Amino acid sequence: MPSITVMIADRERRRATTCAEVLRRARGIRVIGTVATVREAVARAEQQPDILLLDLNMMADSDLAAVPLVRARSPRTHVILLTGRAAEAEILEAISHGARGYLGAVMLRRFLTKAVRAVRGGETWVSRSMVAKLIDRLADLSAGSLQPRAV
Amino acid sequence: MVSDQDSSSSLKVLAASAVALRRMQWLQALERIATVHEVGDRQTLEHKMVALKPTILLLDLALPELRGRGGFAEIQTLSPSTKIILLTKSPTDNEGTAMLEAGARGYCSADMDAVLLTKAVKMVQKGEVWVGRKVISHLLDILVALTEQQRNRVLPNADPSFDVLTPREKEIVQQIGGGSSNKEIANQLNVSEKTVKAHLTSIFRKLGVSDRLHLALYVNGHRPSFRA
Repeated sequence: MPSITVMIADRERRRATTCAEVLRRARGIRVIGTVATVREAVARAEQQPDILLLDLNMMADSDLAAVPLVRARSPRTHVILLTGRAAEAEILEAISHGARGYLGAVMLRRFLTKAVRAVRGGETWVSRSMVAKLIDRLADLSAGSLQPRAV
Repeated sequence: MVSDQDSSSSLKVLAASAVALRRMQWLQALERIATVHEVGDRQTLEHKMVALKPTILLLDLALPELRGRGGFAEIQTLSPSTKIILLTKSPTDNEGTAMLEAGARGYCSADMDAVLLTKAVKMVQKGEVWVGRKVISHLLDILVALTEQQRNRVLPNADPSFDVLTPREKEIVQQIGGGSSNKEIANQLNVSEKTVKAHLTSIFRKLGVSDRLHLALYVNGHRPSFRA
């Protein structure tokens, strides 16, 4: 089986290094690049990584455009967010715009490899409590009661 | 601090299935953590929903006369606070997604073992949702599609022509489409970030798009022929 290719897009250099270290030790996973801006991540989407690890703050700073932009160039790429603490609302937004999972910094050493494999396999990496919130949002959207985002 | 036992003593579960064996399995699985009541037909179920207002209803989708999603929604209205876990012999991703959208808090195999069933009930009691991983993927797909639809609905007939933009504005639009930040654009064009923001405001207005995300998608998806 070909290895799973991963691109890291993270402004926090230490966290990016941790991710690269963890993944280097994993069998069947290859890190094909590390970048620190959305612009570079979008440009390098042409390499069609299976997984993009994306700094949630970078996603937020791009007005949520980062994931749609990457996926417009590389539909096969699935995005896992790298998050800080207490970012629930931002995570919810980012997932609504196409991210397939998220991991806090303290989870990386234990779960990054697992999350990468799961998301590559078509699954998600989302906590059960977040799923409940996503469903509530889905129900609101279905009912047409959600207001569009303010400019 | 509330111990596990205290929190569970108030847990009222209603188990609804026409299959007595199944009800017995559920009862045995849950009797240590909850008070379990059983019903075997829809009429009794309706009665008990109103009378007991259970914390959780375990509802076999094969219950006669339930009539699927619509019936489940009717049952829910009898006790809106009750969290409903639907159980079926052969769960499917599509049905699971539809049921969760309709308000179910759990959807799983009716043959789930005692350990898992206990876990599911505890999770749902805590306000979480119990579904298979595949159903979650499916839900996310729908959520993303609906979010996009919602966004597009804001400007249903917007048909911006990029001709209305100045050459400088076109440059900025292309950079946005490449994922550049305001700061990067400012550096690139050798102007201040404030100037970039002013340009953006003008661009949004001229094109009738609502924000950066919308603009970025427009450039990428809807106007592939666009060149600055």
